[in-house]
Amino acid sequence: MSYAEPLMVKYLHDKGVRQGIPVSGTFELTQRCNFNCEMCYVHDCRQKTDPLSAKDWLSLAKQAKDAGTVFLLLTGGEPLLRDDFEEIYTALAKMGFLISINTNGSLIERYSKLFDELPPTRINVSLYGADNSAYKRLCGNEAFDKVLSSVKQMKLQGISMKFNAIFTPENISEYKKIADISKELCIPMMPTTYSYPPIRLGKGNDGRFSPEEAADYISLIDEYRFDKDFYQEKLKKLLLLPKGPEENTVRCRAGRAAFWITADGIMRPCGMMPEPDGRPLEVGFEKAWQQIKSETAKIRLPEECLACKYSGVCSVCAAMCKAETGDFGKVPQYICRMTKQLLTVAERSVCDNEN
Amino acid sequence: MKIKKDMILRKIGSDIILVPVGNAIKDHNGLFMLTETACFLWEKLPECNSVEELAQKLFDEYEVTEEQALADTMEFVNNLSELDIIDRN
Repeated sequence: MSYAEPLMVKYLHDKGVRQGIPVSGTFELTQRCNFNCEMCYVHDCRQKTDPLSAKDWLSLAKQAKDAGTVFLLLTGGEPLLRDDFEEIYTALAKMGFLISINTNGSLIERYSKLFDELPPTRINVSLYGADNSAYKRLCGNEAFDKVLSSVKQMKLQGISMKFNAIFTPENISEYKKIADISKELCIPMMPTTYSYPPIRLGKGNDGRFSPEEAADYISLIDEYRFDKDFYQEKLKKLLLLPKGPEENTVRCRAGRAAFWITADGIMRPCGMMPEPDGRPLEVGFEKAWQQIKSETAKIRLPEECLACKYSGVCSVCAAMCKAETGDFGKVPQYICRMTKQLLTVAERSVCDNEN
Repeated sequence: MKIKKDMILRKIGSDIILVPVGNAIKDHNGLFMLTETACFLWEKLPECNSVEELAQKLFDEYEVTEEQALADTMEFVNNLSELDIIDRN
C-alpha cells in the first residue's frame, strides 16, 4: 500500500505557496529518544531535558494558528517521551489543528485513552524491522512486539496509521517482512533507502547505502510491494524522462507554505536544512516566518541540475544539496548516482518484463 | 438546530474551512470547505429552530429571492444532516 495525499490538502498547500501562508508546520517537541538509531538526524543522547516548555510550544501554536497553520506534525526525537506530551497535545487538538504524529510506536500504549478521546489525523510509525532482534540491532531496543501491538490497537480505535520504513544496510534483509506487515494490516507504507547525512549532529555518513545500493533496494522494495502491472507502468513513466522544473528555486513547500520548529525553538524551512534560521521565541512567529520565507526565496539550486536530462525524475531538493555538499548550489553527486541507477534498474526491469 | 460534532471554523487566507476536532476526526478524516454563504449559515445555525428560520436570515442578509434562499439553505442543511454533523430538529 502507498499513501496518496487528499486533494483538499494539496489545494490548501498550493494556495499557501501562492499566498505565503504557513499552512503546515512541524513541531520537533524533543531531541530525546528511547531508541538509539545510527541513521537518526535528530536524536541527541546527551540531552536530558527539553529546551522549550509546554507553555512555549502552545504560545508558538497560537501564533501559528493566527498565521493560518492548519496541519501540524508533532515529531522528535520521540515526541511521546515528553512528560507533558498530554498537556501539549490536548491543547493543540482543541485549537483546531489537524495533527499528525511521528513516533517510533513504543510508547503509544500510554496514550491510548487520550488518542481515543482526541484522535490525531494520523499516526506515522517508523518501522525498522519485523522482530525484536532486528529492533535490538538497529535501535538498541527490543520494542517490535510492543510497537506492533500498539499499532493494531490504534487501528482498532479507528485511527489512521502510516508506516515510515527507513532501510539501511542493517535492516534491509527485513524489507519483505515489513512490506507484508503493511499489506496484512492495510496500513500504507512509505519506504526510503536514502538517508540524509546527519549534519545537525555533526556525524559522518558511515552506515548508509552507496547511491547504487539505495537505488537497487528501493526498486526491489517497490517491485515487491506493488502490483506487477502498476509497478511496470510506474517504471515506464520514469523512463519517459518527464520534463523537470524550469527554475532552480526551492520547489517543495518548505519555507513557502511550511515551516519546522526545532526542539530548541529555531524556525527552519524544513527539518533537514541547517539554515536559514528564524527565532520565533524572540521576534514572534509572524516575523520569523517572514524571514524564513524571504531567505528561502533566495535559495538557488545548482544550475547544472536545471540542464540535466534526468531533472524530471530526480528527487534532488535544497535540503539534499545542503546536507550532501554543504552548499545549496552544489550538485550532490550521491543523488545523481542514485537517480542514474534508478533509471538503469527501471530499463532492465521493463526490458526483462517485455521479453 | 444543533451542531452535533465538534468542528472549528477557520479562515485560511480567503478560504473558510471546518476542522473536525475530537471524535469527529474519526468520522470525517478531512476538512470541509465552506463558501461565504455556507459560512454565514453555519454561524447562524445554532440560533435557528428550523430550516425556514435559517433561510429567512440568509434572505435578510444577501440579495437572493426567498425561493433561492430556502432552496440553498435546504441543500446546506440536508448535506450536513446526511453527514451527521447537525441535528435539524
